[in-house]
Amino acid sequence: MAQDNVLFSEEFLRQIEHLTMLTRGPVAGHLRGHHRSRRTGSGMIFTDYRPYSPGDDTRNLDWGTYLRLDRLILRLFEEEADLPIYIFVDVSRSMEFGTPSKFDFARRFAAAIAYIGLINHDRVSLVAFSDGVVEEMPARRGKSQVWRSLHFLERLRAAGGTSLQTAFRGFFGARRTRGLVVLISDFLDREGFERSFQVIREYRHDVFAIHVSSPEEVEPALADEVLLVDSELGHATRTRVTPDLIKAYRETFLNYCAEIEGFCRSHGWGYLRASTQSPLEKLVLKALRDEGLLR
Amino acid sequence: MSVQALPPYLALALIAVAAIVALLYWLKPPPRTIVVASSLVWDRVLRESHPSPDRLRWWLSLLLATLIAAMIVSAVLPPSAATPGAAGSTLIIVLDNSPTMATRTTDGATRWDHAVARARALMESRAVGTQVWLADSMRRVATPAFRNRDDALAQLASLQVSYGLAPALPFPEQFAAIEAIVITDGVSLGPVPAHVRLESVFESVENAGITAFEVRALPADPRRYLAYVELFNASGVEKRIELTVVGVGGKRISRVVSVAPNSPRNEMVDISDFGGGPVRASIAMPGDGFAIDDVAYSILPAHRVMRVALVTDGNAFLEKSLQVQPRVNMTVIAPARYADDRNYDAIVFDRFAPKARPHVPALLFRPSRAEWLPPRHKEIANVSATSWNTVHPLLENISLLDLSVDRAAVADLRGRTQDAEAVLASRPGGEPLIVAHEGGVRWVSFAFALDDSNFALHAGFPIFLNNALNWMWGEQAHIKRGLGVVEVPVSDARVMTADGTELPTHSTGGGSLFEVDVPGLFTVVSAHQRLRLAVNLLDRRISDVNNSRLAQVKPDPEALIAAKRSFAFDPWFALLLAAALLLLFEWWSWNRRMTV
Repeated sequence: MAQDNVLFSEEFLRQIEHLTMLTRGPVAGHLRGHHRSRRTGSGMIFTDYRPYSPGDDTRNLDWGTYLRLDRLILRLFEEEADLPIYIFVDVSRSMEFGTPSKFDFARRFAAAIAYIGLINHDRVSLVAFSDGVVEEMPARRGKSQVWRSLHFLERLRAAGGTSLQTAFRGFFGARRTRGLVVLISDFLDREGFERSFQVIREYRHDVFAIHVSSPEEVEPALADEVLLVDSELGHATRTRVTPDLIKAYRETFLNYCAEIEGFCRSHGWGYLRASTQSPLEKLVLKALRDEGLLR
Repeated sequence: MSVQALPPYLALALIAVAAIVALLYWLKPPPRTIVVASSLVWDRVLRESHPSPDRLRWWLSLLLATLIAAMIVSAVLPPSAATPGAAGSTLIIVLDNSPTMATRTTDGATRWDHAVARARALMESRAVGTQVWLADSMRRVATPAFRNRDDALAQLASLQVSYGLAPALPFPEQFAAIEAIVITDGVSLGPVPAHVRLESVFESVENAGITAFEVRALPADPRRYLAYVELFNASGVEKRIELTVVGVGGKRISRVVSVAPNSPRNEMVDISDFGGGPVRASIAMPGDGFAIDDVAYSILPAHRVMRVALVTDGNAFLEKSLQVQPRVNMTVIAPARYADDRNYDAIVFDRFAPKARPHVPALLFRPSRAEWLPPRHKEIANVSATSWNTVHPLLENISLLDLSVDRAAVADLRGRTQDAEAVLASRPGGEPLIVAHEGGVRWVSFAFALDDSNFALHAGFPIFLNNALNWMWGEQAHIKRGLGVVEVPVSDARVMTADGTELPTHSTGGGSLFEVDVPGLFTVVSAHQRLRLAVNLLDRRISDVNNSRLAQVKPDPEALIAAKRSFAFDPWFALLLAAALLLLFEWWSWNRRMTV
């Protein structure tokens, strides 16, 4: 049964308050924030000079240059903007498996990332998806939105199949500011993950994939003759589980994970394989920092 | 193996077991339903791996379980019930138990052991009701007949290797249509009918044997004796053989000789220093597979000079014949001067007999009338001997077939009741031509003079004189025989081995029969006689144990395996072992999910 409480300890919250999200390039946020953007304005980081035009902010005139050259030159600064963060949480039936369930694990992960984004005044959107977008929390900004985000996550229920492509097309089909897409899923999509990921690439978002897996998936404790029923599709496969078959399954599963990781790495995306047995706090405080998502 | 061939209750038991096993398989619970997050990875795995089809594995598993159960049921049922074969079938088995079957093979067992094991395996492979006609080449089974299998198995246990007779196959012609098997090494057995299947137990071994052993005086010096030994090497390569001759008084002569492959070698050993008595020759060769021919026995006569008096009016032929006898110191006395016999060991009377019985043994040729001799019956002319006692020591190696007598004075033994007087030779009317007296002082009386017959011209005449002097003087006579059933010319005899054990004997008309299956020296004792008997193999045909017609025939590996298996396992044990092995295989295959 899914665990509804996604709250964290005070200690953990204190620790992650000091973290900020990182992106691999300038962001395209519209509001003031802490992230570099392509726009110039009233930031702190000098980028260039240009001749003064009437109406420009005279506070940015370079008076030293004027004294030497007798010309009015304006200093330009990189404007810091907020970061649009789209956190996609997989709520398909396959996420219900494992102890603790992948679904709970994903929700807690999403909550942690949303928390970090919100306290850094980034615009955080939460998207629950299965075989399409199930529910969406529009972009929120500021620490005051933390409880709203947590409440959104707590209300989610696992249901339906998995279609990353449908979900991405449905969400990004509407005009969305380019930002950071955090995918939290088991990626068990029969349509394949490559096409879905290509959709995100089309919109040129920065992506970080968190691949959630349970120990039962890696080392299934099956023996003898079994009828394997797919939780999403419901179809059954009868097979005799042998040590050789288990070994082959393990290899295939690891290969599948490696394929996803390979795709992400090759396109400059971040990737983290997260086992539900691993402590979430450790993953957030260390693994995500190691992978370059947090600082 | 067909179900119809099984005993009904065994067949029913096996069917029931198979049915129960199959039922249990059908009653196996359905597979567990496991809900997995997604079958995406599983589908990939199952697509790439090719597990054997479930139905095939199910059948394989059922087959294994049924086999295991059937084997256990067969093992726990009475052994005879587990034996396949059709009741009422017949089988002829002839075992070759000729002497060469005692040859020891490389595994330590003899060819005979292998033959018995093979025969047992053959019988046990048949149904209980099978009628088996069991016979042997040496006719141990006096009257072979069809018996049930268990009786034949008991009879098989009583058979053994035998000696003395020529091996032969006792196949009745009316059995030509019945399956017949001869188990042999192919060395001694003669022709085998075409319908008979030969089972070979032949295995080439190394062997050396003594094929002749004689102790003889040197013709030039009768006081010297040589042991003549013939060695035979039946091995395929040249062999070094140690020959040892042992005699009385701890005398021992050893020598090592090389003998070419499949060849004999003659050796002469001077045993003049040996005391009179038994002489034993033996050989030693590493790896010798046939022990019976490695030893032979003989008797060395005592080396004493005999004082012999010839009482005659003149008989140059007899005089010269006695003079050439070894160990004889002869004195010629005219009948008129004959007075005292105490200075002699034996006396030969030629056409003369003293009034009183001599105190020493006597040989008489046509003696004159005397009270102590049988009375004369009549004179006969132109007679020949029609029967004579060939086994008496006096006539050993003597033939009277060509004896021609011009005239003879035959004695009348009808009135005499003394058992000690034996007729050694007689003419057609039954009148005695040679009479021997064994009670008290011995004498031998001829009804004819040498001059009236051609006996002195016979090649065996000097031998007869030697036999007569030895016998009369009480030299313990010895005879030689081969292994097997031995007949000695002594009625109601007791036969003792060298260590004093008495052998069981059977009396025949004029002698005794007993059986000897190892070489040795024996003493034959009766009320009036004492004989030394040397029994040896001394037969090159037997020592040549590799001269087999089956030498080129490779043994049937399956038959050998079956025979070896019958040495080691009973059928129930083999079945249990096989069931255990199958269980092990089932466990192994289940762990690899080859079975369900």
